[in-house]
Amino acid sequence: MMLARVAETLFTVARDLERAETTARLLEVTHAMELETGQSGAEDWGTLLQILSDHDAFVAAHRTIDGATVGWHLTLSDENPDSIQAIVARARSRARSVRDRLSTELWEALNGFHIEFADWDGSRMQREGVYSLSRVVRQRSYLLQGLIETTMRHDDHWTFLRLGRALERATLSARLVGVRAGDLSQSPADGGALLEQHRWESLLRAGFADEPYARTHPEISPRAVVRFLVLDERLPRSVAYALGMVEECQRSLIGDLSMAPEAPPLQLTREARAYLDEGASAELMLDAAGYLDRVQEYCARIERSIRTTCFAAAYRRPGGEWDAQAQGQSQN
Amino acid sequence: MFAADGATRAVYRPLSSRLDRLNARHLDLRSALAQDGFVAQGITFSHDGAERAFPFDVLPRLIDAEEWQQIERGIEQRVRALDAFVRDVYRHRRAVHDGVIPNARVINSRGFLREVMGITPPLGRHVHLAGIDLVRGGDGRWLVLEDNLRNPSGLSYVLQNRVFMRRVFPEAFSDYRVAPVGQAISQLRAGLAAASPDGAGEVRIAVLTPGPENAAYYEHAFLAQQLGVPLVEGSDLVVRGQRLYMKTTVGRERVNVLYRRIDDDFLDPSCLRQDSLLGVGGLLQAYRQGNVAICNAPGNGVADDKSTYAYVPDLIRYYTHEEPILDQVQTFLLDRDEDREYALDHLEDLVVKSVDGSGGYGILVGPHASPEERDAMARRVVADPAGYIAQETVSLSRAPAYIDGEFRPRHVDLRPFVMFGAQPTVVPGGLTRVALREGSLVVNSSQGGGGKDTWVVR
Repeated sequence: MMLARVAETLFTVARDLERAETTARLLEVTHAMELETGQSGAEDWGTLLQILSDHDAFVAAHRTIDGATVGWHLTLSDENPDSIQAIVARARSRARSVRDRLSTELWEALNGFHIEFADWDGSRMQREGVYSLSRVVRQRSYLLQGLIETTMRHDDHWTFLRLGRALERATLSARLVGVRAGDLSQSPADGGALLEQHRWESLLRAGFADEPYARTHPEISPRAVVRFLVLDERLPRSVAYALGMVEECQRSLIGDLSMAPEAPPLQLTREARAYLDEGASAELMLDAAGYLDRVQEYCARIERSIRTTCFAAAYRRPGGEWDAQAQGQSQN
Repeated sequence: MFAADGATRAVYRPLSSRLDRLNARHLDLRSALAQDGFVAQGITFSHDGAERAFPFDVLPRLIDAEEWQQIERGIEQRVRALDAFVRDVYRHRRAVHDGVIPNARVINSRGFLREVMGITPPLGRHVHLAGIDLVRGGDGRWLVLEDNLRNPSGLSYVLQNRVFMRRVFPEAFSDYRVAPVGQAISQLRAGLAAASPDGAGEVRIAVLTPGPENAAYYEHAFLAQQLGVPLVEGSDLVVRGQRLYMKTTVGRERVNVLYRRIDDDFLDPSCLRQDSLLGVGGLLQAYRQGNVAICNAPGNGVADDKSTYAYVPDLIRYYTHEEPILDQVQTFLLDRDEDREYALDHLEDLVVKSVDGSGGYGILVGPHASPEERDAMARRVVADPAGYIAQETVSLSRAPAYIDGEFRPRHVDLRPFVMFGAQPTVVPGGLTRVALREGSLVVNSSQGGGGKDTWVVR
C-alpha cells in the first residue's frame, strides 16, 4: 500500500539524487580531461551544458563557456534550478515530508548531506576546487545508496526509490552518449585524433566503464565504446542495465499490488527495451545520435505514463496558504 | 533537587555524587553528543520560524516511585472525569442540569463544537491521548496547571530523550531502577485500536498531519513511523459513501481510525472552516455515521478550556464520586464580579491568562510585570472579562540544568502523557520542560523552552 503522494515523492527524490551524482561525476571527469589534454575545452564544457542544463539559455546569459563558469553553474549557482545545491536542498525537503517511510539512518545521512553541503560557497570552491566538491557529493551519494540498499526493507517504497534512480540513469546515460555519438560519422582532423581519443576515454570514465572496457577491448574504437555504454547488460551505468532495472522495478510493484498488472508504463518499458536491442546492430552504426534520441523519448514517455498510472492521485501542495494554515495549527 | 533547607533531596543523592565525580569536560562532550544527535536526526521544533534542534538537557529529572504512584492515580482519575464530562456535554449535559457547571460556560467555550452534538464515538471515548501539565510547588505538593486534550505534543521527545540518555549518560542508569517508557508506543497503538468502529479485527489507523511546515511535524512523522501506520495529509484523504479512504497508487484504501494533529476547525471544509486545506470534506459525516473514529475526538476543547478548569474539581467529584487526588491551581473566573474585584486588586500577586491562548503567550505574570503591563492587562480584563482567568502564582520547582558548562537552576514543569483505550494508562514520568532563560517561568518549546528526560526511580 502506497500513498500516491509518497510514491511520487520517493520517485522524485531518487531521480534528483541520481542527477546530483552524475553531475558531480561529469564535472570531475571533464575537469580531469582538460588538465590532461591542456586544451581550452570550451566544447567539452558546452557538452556538459547540453546534457545537464540548457545550453542555449546559458550562452544567451553568459559570454564565456569554460570550467569556471560551467562549474559554478552546475554546482552552486542560484540561477540554475538543477545545480547540485538546488537539487540537494530540494531532495532533503521532499524527503522530510516522507521521513516516516525512510530508515532513520537514511534520513540522517540525507539531512547530513544537506547540512554539509550548505557549508560550500564560492570561496570554498576556489580554495578546494571542483574535485573536492565532487568527491563530497559522490561519497554522500554512495553512502545514501548503500543505506537505501541495506537499511530499508525492500518493499514498494524501496522500489519506487529504485525506479526513480533507474529512469534518471537511463535518460542521462542515453543523453550523455547521444551527444558524443553525433560525431561517430566524422573522422577527426589530423592532430585532433588524440583529443578524440581522450574524449572517448572520458566518456567511459564518466560511466565507470574505462577499466571494464580495457579488460574486454583491445583499443578505443568509438563504435565499440558506444555499444558498450548503451548495451552492456552488466555495466551498472549502461542504458540497457538501467532500462532493465526500470522493468524489474515495475514487475516488483505489481507483485506488491502497488501498480496495476499490465500497466501502460510496463508495456512501454518492454517496447523501449525491444527497440534498444533491435537498433543494436543496424541503426546504431548508421545514426547513433538519432537512435539514442529515440531512446530518450521512450524514457520521457515511460515517466509520463508512470505519473498518470501511479501518481494521478498525488496532490502538489500549493504552498502559501497551505503552509500558513499548517503553521497555525496549535500543538499545545 | 534541593529541599527547602538547601540539602540535596534523598532521591538526587546518587546522581549528585556521580556528577561530582564527573569532570566538566566529560559532561560537555556528552551534552554536545546529544545535541549533535538531535540535529543529525532533525529532531526539531520550530521556533521563530526556523527549525531548531530540540534543546535537550543532559541531567535527568528524578521523581520517587512512591510519589509517582500518587500522581499517576490522580491523573487517571482526572482524565476519566474529563472524558466523562466531554461525553456528557455532547449528550445529555447532566452535569449542567445538576448544577455542577453553568450551561453558558459550556456553550460559550471556544472548544465547544455544536457540529458533534449527539455523536457517541466508539467506547464513548473522546480523550485518547492527553497531556496533563503539572508543577511541583515549593512545599512539595504537585498541582495540575493545565489539561491538554486536543493536540498535546511532546510524547516523541519523551521517547527520544530516554534513547539519548542511554546513549550519552549510560552510567547514571546503574545508580537507579528507572521505570521504562518504551512501552508508550504499543500503549498508544492499543488505545487507538480500541477506538476502531469495526472491532479489533479491522483496525486501519492513519496519522493526519498538517505537513512539514507545522512546528511539531517531527513528532507526527516519528509517531506514525513508530506506530507503523501511514502519515497522511488532508489531500491524501477522500470520503466516499460516508467512509474515509486514503489515495494510493492503485485506488482507495480504507481508514477507520484517524489520529489527527490538526485543529477541530480545520477537519472538514464542507461543514467547518470552508477554506481549510488541511482536512477532508465529509469527514464529520463519516464520523457521525460511525464509520471512522477521530482521535482525539472533535470537541474536546470544551474540557481543557481555561474557564472550565475552575470547575474540574467539582466535575471529578460528580463523575467519579471521589475527592480529587491531585490539587490544581486556585483559579478566579474574571466574569464573576467577586473574582474580578479580587483579581484586579491583587494583580501583582497573580497570573492572568487569556482563555483561548495556548503555548504560553498572552500571559501576565503579576510579580514580574511592570505597573504599565499590569494596567494594560487590567484594561483588557475590564473590556472582556469572560476572556480571562487569574490564578495564584505557583513557584515552579527548579532542577539543575547543564548550561554553558555549569549547573544552573532552572524552572521545570512536568507533562505526563495518558493513553486512554479501555482504561487510562499513564507513561511513567513524562516530559520535563525547562525554562532555559534564567528566572523565566515559561517552558513551552514554542517559546524556546527545552526538555529533560524524566526518571521515575526506586
